[in-house]
Amino acid sequence: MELQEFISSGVLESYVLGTATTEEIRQVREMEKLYPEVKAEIEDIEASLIRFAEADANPSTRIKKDIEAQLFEKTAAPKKRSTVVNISSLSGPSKWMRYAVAASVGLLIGVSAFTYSLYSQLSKTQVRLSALQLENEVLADEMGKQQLELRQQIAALTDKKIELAMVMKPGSKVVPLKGMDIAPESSAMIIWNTKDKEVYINAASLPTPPQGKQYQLWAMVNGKPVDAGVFTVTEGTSFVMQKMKDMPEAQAFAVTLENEGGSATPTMEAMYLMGSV
Amino acid sequence: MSMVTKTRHTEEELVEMLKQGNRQAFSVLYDSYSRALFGVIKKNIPDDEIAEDVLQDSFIKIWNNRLMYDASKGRLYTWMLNIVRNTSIDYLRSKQNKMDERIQRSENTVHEANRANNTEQNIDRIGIKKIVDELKEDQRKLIDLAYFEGYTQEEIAEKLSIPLGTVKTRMRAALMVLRKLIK
Repeated sequence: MELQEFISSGVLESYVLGTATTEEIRQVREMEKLYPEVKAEIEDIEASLIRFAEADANPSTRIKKDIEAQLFEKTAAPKKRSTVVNISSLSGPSKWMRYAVAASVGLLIGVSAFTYSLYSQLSKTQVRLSALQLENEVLADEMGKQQLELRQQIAALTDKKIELAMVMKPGSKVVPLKGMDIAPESSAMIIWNTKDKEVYINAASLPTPPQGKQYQLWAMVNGKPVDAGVFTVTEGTSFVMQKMKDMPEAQAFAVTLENEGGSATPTMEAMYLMGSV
Repeated sequence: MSMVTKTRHTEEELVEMLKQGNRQAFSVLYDSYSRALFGVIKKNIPDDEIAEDVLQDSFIKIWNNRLMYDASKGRLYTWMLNIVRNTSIDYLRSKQNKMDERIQRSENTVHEANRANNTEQNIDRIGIKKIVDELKEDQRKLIDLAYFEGYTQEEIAEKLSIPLGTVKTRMRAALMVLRKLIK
C-alpha cells in the first residue's frame, strides 16, 4: 500500500481511538517502525485528541494527592467521600431520644412514683447512647482501615498476577537471591528473560537503606561484575517488581549497598544478596 | 515534526518510567494525562464530584495494572482511554439509580458553576466552542461516539446506518477538521 494512501485511510485514527482491529494494529505498528511520517501522524492525531478533551477539564488538585496517598502511603486514611459510612446516622438516636423524653415527661406528670426510676433510666440510656456513638465512630474508622487494607491486598494480588505472568513468559528465568552474612534474613527474586534480556527484581524484604545509600544490582558476567542499575527500597512504597538494566548474559546476580546513584565497582563488604543463574 | 503539546515526555520515556514504578513516575503520568482523561470522563458523567471519583478509581487501576500495558497492542493513551471509558461505564451501570437523581440535580448547575469557576479557562472555552461549532453535526457525533463513549466501528456503522468503510473515512475527515482547528 502506498504510504500516503495508508496515512489517509483512517486506520491511524482508529488506532489512536482504540477502535482498530488486531490486524490493523499489527499493520500500523509495522508501518510506524518503517516510516517516521506514520509515527508523526499518529502523535499528531493523539495530541489533538488530548487537547480536545483537555479543554474544559480541570480536576481539583487534591485528587492527585488523594491517589498518591492511596498508592504510596500505607498509613494514609482512605480519602474517598463515598467510602465514609456514617453509622451513627443509621441508628437514629435523636428520634429514639425524642420518644424517650416525651414518654418520660408524660409519666412525670401522671405518676410521680416512677419519676425517679425513669430519670435514672433515661440518663443510663443517654450514657449508653453516647457509648454507642463512640463505638460507631470506632467502627466506621475500622471499616475505613479495612477498606484500605482490602485495596492494598487487591493491589498486591494484581502485582502477584503480573509477577506470575512475567515468570510464565517464554525465556524467563527465576533467580533467587539469598541473604549474605550481613543480612541473613533478606532475600530477593530476579526475573531475567533471556529472550528480551529484561531484568526485574523484587527485593521487598531488604531493609530500608540509610540516608544517602542505595542498593545496586550486579550481574556477574564471565567472572566480572556488570552494573545492572540501582533500585530503591523505601518504607511504605508500594513497589513490587522493579525494572533493571537489560542483560544479554549473566551467570549470577548480586546486590550491594552503595552510595546514592551507584558505584562503578561493587563494594564487596556491603554485599547483601547473591544467587547464581 | 510531530506536534507535542507543552513539555510532554515522549511515550517511550513514560512507558520506561512506568515500569520503574516510583512515585515520581506516577506524578509525571498524572500530570501528562489526567486533564484529558478527566475530560473524557466528564463527557459521560457531567457531575464534577462523581467524575473526580471515577478519575481516581481509573488512575488506581492504571497504576496497579501498569506492567500489563503492552506497547505492541497500541498507544499508552489509548490503553488508558479504555480503562477510563470502562470505569465510567461500570460506574454508570452500577449507580444508575443514584446517578439519575444526581445528574438531574447537577446538570443545570454544572455549566453555571464552570462558567464562574476559572478565568484562565475562558480562552480554552472560547476555543473549544469555536471548534465544536465548526465541526458538522455528524462529525461531532462521530467523535463523541468513538472517542468519548468508546463505541466500536461496527457499532457506529450500525448506529448511524452507514457502511463500515465510510465510518473510517468520515472519522478521518472529522479528525482532520479537529486537528486544523486545534493547531
